Amino acid sequence: MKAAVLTGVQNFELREVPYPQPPRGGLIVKVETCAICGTDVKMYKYGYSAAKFPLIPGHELAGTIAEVGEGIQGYHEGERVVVAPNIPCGTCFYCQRGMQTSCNRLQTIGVHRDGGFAQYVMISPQAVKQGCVIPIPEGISFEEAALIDPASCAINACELSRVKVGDVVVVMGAGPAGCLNVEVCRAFGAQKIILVQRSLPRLKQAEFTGADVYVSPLRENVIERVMQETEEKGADVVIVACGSGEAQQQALEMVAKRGNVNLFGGLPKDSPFIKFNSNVIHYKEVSVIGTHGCSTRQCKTALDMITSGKIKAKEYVSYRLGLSDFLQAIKLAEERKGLKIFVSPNL
Amino acid sequence: MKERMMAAVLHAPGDLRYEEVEVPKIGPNDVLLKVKAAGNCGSDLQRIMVEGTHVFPCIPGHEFSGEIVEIGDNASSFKAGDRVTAYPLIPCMRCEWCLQGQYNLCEDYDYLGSRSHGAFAEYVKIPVVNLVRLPKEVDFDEGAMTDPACVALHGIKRAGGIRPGQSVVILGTGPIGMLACQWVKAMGAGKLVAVDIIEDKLKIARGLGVDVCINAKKEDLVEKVMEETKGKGADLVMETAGSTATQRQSLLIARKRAKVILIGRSYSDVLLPDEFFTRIFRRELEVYGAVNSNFSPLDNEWKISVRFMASGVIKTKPLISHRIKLEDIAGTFKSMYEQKMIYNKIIFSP
Repeated sequence: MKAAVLTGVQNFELREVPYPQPPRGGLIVKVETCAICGTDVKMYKYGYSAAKFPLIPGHELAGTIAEVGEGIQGYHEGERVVVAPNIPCGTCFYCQRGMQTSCNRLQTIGVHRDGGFAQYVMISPQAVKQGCVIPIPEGISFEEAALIDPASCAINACELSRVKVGDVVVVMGAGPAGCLNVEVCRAFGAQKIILVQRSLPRLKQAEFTGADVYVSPLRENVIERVMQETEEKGADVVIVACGSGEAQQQALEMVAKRGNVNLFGGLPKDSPFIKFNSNVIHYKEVSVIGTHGCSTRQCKTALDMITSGKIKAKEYVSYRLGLSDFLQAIKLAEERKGLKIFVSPNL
Repeated sequence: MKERMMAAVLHAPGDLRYEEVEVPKIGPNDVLLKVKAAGNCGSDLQRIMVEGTHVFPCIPGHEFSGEIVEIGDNASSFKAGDRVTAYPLIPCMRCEWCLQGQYNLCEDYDYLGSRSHGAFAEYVKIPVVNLVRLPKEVDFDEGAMTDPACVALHGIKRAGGIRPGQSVVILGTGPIGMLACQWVKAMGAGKLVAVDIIEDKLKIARGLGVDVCINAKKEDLVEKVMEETKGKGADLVMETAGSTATQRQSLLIARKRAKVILIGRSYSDVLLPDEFFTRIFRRELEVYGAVNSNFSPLDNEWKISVRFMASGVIKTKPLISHRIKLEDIAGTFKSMYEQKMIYNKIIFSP
């Protein structure tokens, strides 16, 4: 079969690789679509500590079951499924407490093992056992379903940021993660959502999310605007959905007393330090948290939200490319073109 | 300003008279409101027909909206002509609960419509701090339903809200129940089930986006909820009907570690046989009581509610079953008491 293989940092080859065999208790999924995530871009450009090359990346994937391994019940050939890519061990300290994003032995498809930028992908027995293979409801496309991974990361963010009914929330960054955070915050009952994004076309592109206020620092002072929108109190929750240290510092300035700041986007690994006035946290009694990843439970909630239209998944589909255009797909994502770039290995 | 007005005055339980009385005199921290709409709360029927108000004579009515016609010397944050609704509870501001902003738990409160004169009248006097401005999108009828919207919201918030995707059962589809349905939907509820015994009310619930409506007279409520929740029970159960049957059943349809919110009052003893009591214990249920609503500056459910009503997420209009002139109020309460009418929210207008 054909696969996009990373053989080293910034080394990519479109290769013919052996078709994977389904292990007992596992599945083979014919990949219909796999979206590019920021992690894929990072992995290609800089490598990734957890990833060992050669590797087939890709973890936001959906497809049809091509083969069902021995000893599996409840799945059948030809079934349309989406895969929750983070496979928890299910037995460690964190898994046993329902904190699968902190699993000590977390195995991510397309990071720790071969992923979805290939015609077929093997889904391990452990993934099946942990419920990572989720049937796609009728009427939902593969691309819409493949959005569950980034969407559930936003659900994890809103849960841990304690977004509640009536809250004013600021989301910084209007990329796919920012847009998903807006939609998920709304589903959590946020009353006013302020979306901040420097680039005006990108801000305009995010209008489908139904945020209440769209702010660009190119047009106005962001902190002043947030204060003005909140009767000078600041926002109850600020989610920083971009990898900018400056945005993280601003978040502390615009959050309300007793508010929550979520450092959702990671910073570049060579400059992860920021400077901030820690007295702001001290005197405003602010909670600063971070979130990353998602659990299988949250992936299922995400699929429900996509099905019910709370997340307008179709809006995220910006580009559709074939496997041979993998590098171009990475480049489009890196240049922040559109929202999500989908690769169809069988196009 | 005129000196006399018409009002519905309660002189004794069951003795509600539409008569002429003096227009209230306002103090420096009050405003005088011209009442545009006043709703019947579930508690009003019992109060007017059976239990009486705390003092007599008393003008009942605590869910209302109107237009300010006169402001006290220290009430300049509002002006004549402003469209408002108001928190009907007047806190003592001295007890431990008031000092925490939990006015609904005040030890020594005054209350419009049961301890002081309320809004079944042409005019009502209100402390300026109790006022909430109505956004332009919210009309007077809707504004008069801010109170029940807040009561429903408060109940859900008492239990810490829900996580998106969780299943919810609302017992009773009166105004509070239907507002609760809309709030949990706004918070991302997964499967939403509403239960009542009146088909017309369930029809309205369906129109408001409830997934499964159960007529408990026709179907086995417990069985049906279990079937709808894959045998697990609901993550959140809210009892708004105030009937002994549903108060008990709320415990049988809750899944392990579920939250059960009791917001309907009881009118008789609620006995818990072993089977019901054991559910609380074995399933580690969290049972919450909730009364009235929060008006604290930090967590003002009234401000949240009017905004959600303005944005159209919370709809109150479908809950109005009757609009009646204030002069017909005594007869209306009599018919309600004698169960001669099926009603949801009734809006009285002077």
